[in-house]
Amino acid sequence: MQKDVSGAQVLARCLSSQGIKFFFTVPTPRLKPIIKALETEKDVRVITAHNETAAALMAEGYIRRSRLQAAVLTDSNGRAISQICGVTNAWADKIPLVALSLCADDEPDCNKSVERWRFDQSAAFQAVTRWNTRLTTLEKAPAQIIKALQESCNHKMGPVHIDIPFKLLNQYVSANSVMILPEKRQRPVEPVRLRAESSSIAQAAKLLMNAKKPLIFCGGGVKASEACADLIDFLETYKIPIATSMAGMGSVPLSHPLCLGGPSYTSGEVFHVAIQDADVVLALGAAFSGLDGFGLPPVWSGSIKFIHVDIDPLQIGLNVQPAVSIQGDVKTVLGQMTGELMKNNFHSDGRWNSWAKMLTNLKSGRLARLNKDAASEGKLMHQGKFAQAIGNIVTKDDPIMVMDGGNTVLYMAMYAPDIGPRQAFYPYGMAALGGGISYAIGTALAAPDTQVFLITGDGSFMYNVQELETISRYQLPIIIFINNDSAWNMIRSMQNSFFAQNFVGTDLDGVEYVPIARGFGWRAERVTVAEDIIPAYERARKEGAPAIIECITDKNNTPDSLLSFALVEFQGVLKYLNPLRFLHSVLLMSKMGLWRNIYQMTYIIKALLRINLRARRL
Amino acid sequence: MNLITGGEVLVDCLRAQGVRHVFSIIGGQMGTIYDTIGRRDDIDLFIPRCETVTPLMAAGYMAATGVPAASLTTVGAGVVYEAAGLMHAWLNYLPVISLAPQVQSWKTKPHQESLQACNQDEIYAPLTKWNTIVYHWKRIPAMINRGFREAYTGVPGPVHIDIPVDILFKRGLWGQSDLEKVPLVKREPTITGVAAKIEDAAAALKKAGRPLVIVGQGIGREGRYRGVRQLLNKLGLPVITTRFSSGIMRGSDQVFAGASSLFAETDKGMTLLKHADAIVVIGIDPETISLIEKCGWTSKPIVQIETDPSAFLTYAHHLVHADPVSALSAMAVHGIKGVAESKRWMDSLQNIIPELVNELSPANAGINKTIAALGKTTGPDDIIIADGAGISPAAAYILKDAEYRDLFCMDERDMAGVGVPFAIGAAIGNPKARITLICDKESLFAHVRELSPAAQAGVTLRIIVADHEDAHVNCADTASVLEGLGCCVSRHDLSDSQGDISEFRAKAISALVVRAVPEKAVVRLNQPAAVLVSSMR
Ligand SMILES: Cc1ncc(C[n+]2csc(CCOP(=O)(O)OP(=O)(O)O)c2C)c(N)n1
Ligand SMILES: [Mg+2]
Repeated sequence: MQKDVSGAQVLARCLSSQGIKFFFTVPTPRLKPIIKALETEKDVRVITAHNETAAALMAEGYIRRSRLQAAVLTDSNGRAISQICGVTNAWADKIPLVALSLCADDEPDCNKSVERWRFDQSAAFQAVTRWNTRLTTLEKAPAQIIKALQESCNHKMGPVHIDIPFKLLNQYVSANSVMILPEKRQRPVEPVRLRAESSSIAQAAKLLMNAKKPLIFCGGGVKASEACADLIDFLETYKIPIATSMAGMGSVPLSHPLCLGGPSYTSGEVFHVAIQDADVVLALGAAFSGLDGFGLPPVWSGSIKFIHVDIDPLQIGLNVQPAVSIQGDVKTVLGQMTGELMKNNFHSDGRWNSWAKMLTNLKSGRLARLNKDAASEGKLMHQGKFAQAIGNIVTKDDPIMVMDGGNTVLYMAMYAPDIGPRQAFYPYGMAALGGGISYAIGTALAAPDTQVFLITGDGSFMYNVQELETISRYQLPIIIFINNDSAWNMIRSMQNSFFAQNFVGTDLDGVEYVPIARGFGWRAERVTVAEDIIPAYERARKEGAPAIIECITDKNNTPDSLLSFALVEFQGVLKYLNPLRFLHSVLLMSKMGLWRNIYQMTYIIKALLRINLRARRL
Repeated sequence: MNLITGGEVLVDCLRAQGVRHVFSIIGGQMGTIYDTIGRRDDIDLFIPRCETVTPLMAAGYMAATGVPAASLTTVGAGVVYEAAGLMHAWLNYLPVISLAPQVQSWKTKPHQESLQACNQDEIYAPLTKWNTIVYHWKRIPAMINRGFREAYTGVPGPVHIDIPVDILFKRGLWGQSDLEKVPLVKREPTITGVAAKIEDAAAALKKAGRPLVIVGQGIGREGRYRGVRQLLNKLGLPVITTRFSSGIMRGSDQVFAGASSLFAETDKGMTLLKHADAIVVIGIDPETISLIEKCGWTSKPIVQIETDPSAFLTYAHHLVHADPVSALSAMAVHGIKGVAESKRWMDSLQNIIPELVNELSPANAGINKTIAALGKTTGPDDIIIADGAGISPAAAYILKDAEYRDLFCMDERDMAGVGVPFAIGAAIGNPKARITLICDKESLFAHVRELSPAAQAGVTLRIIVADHEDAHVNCADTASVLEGLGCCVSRHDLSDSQGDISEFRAKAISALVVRAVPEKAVVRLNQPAAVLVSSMR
């Protein structure tokens, strides 16, 4: 039998025929054969980056927007481990990323011996993938790859990792000894329409019908299930107020009368009141993560009865112990629920209107306060104004919004314009800084006809700044807005509140981003007043080339909702703070100006005092 | 006795081990650590712009100073960037101390959707010598001590310690006497070895006509056992180095016979090396193993000096469990130069080197001219760092006769662009030395961002970049990118000069952009390290 195809060709064929058409990589001599083989495959594009971390993040960003599967492909060792950042983001946010890396041919050595190069590369990925494997032979590779792709979209989605021993690439086999796979179109990330078991639907309907103050809590699973329209129908039919988790942002327009506003705590007291007063919560595809207070006391009321709908049974009961657990696809379950409610001839008949009205009033009060804060006088631009200006552009031009940063993201969420389900991108689960430029590239490649914005903190901007070159090389007209508050400000804010303004390692004064951008050959402008943001944008837009708009903002502003996030993140820890030091912090903070104090105090009274600190905590 | 936080205890313990610099990007959970560092003047932070480089900077710092440095990154998000950098420390046998906060100890494992939480200890397990989670405030000192011990004992390597946020914030009583209970871990532990074994080994070497010393890992790049250079000169046997020990010997050392790859990559070199009739291996590493097997030395007397007995090769004859300085001093006492032939052997090795260098890295090829020119201008205060496919091996060959304090050759096959952060770390640790990084455009770009915080912090560094204008690969102008990041740049065209760099002075971060493509085809060390080794075993 003639040995006529190389391992590189087999793997390229196999991946491409299974519908993986976008590969993000950093070329190395060892990868050359497979990159060459991929480039001869139909419809395949190989995108090259400057380091593997960026490549993995690009692949992940591409999938987030396109809902089509894509891969990151790298060399071994440190170059493989560099993928872990993107892989972990994908794992936390349930993105079916295909992570491919070369590995040593030897059997992995788990004894930590002197033969360091034989370390177990695959093991490093285990904790943050849904599945991983090491290819054994070329004959078995197609089946292993199909298995990996299945696992990545198996109910709950997530990344998979495949290690490819070097030697496989340059081996030759006969073409008929490897499975010939039928050519597939680019592999879509499709929700699994899993139906829920009917008795739990009946239970849930009963609970809902008897609720006095029901609340829908919408997680990232709603978007994954492509159920946003169904959800809006559902809540409009029954007039139930809705809050979204951070990951659920964009599922329902923020201005919708039943929507509480920004995701999670960014809607401030509205969210705090809703999760303390509600008696029944219908949670749809929600992880109940730290960003949303775990669904548990003290921020959530301990007497809520939860109906938890999730495609992954292991997600249910992880933090919240629900009254009714429903394993199923959100879209399908919403249909089943509506059916069940109709069967019972149930109409809400305005029974929840006063509850909804109370929340809506809180929402408009909060919005008025936010606007007032943004308009407050200061020497430097207020981040609220920065976010509002970008919001206006977003409303007008409907771009993709990639967000990166700490406070920057909170401000964008607090002052967010109405956005659609596949419009705003941020790694909610890991809240890792630095993916912005890569996500912008990934989403721009996924949506070539859509304008992409990156709205980033100054700290986050630099992580993958080398990829500005990649943006130029692929001629992607991305516009980057930098919120330059000259600080790692989210953490600086904490030093302000808890450590008596001992600002250590959080100031980034003196760094100018316009020269850096120009160094990369970019168009760049520096803006110091909010009124100039839109004109600067118009100028950039007219040129149609990538551009950076650096906006100088005031590092002394703190988004009020940060306090809520901090309380949850530091649950059980803040009691250790030295009381004298804490008092000193409060004293120093009170010198930050009358308006800032009123603003923060109002938040504490309206939102934080809603927390029942005596409630059972975990 | 004072009532202090876990963060303060941690900083005390790091200071007790001699740590003066921490490379870190902050996360909220590190609040008490940063607060402490900010209030002390005996420990400093350097804040880069991405966590991947924190261990790489720590590695450069240690290499240039011999003083340990720590890498501190935040729970989940920071850790997943850092892992790749720590991987470099793992593969290069570097005792980097890596620390990270974790979420509350009662939520650490299993993972329960806490913000940023993942089972990070599992990510670290395969790529560190040792890792742990500290669940109790009182265990911080013991665990930090254990971390240093693990990192520096035997074959060195990185360690990682996770400390949950409640442990870092909690306050307890701690005093001078507690601090004194934390002993300083010896970074260059003295292991005297068994006298009889050393004597046997010396006797075997005395009989040899063509002995050869190969220095591998565990020396130099970790900033340790630098005394071996003097001892090797005293012993008078020819010495070759691997990329793990590059820089431990220099041009003025009569015994220095160049980089091991110089021989491994050339037929002539291999033919000559095969004549060696006794081998001394100090700290086994992949290059050493590969060379031993390729040259068929397994049947010849091999003296292996190791700080960790588990590193002994099955076919080595004289297993010396001792630190290299002790072992070599003991051998020097016995005297090992005996046979008249050894002078001729040394000469034959020395004489062939120019030919081999010329074969692998022709002096007139591209950037090689600049490397050679650099070698003519350096002295005992220079630290040279080479990075990039065409440059790193070439530097090891071409700089064979140069004088320097140290030479570090990075392996871009395992990780892109380690040179930039490594050089910055070295410059921070050793501001008196003149640091020069020589690299190609690809290696420069991978972590080019770090030049911005380095320039901001007033770091002094020279960078020589071999530039190219291949817009399919990189359409940014190297010089203007560097200028944008705050470097002083001069451009240099090889076509109209002889690669003269005598005018190239460091003020802040200065870069010399040389238009020359590294000759990748000429420098053939393009085989992957792992493949190189596995095909040998
Ligand atoms: C990779 C990573 N490192 C560190 C952190 C901790 N962290 C959270 S927010 C923040 C500050 C971000 O600064 P910037 O991007 O300028 O945004 P800002 O908060 O100033 O708006 C930091 C360091 C993180 N989330 N991810
Ligand atoms: Mg900032």
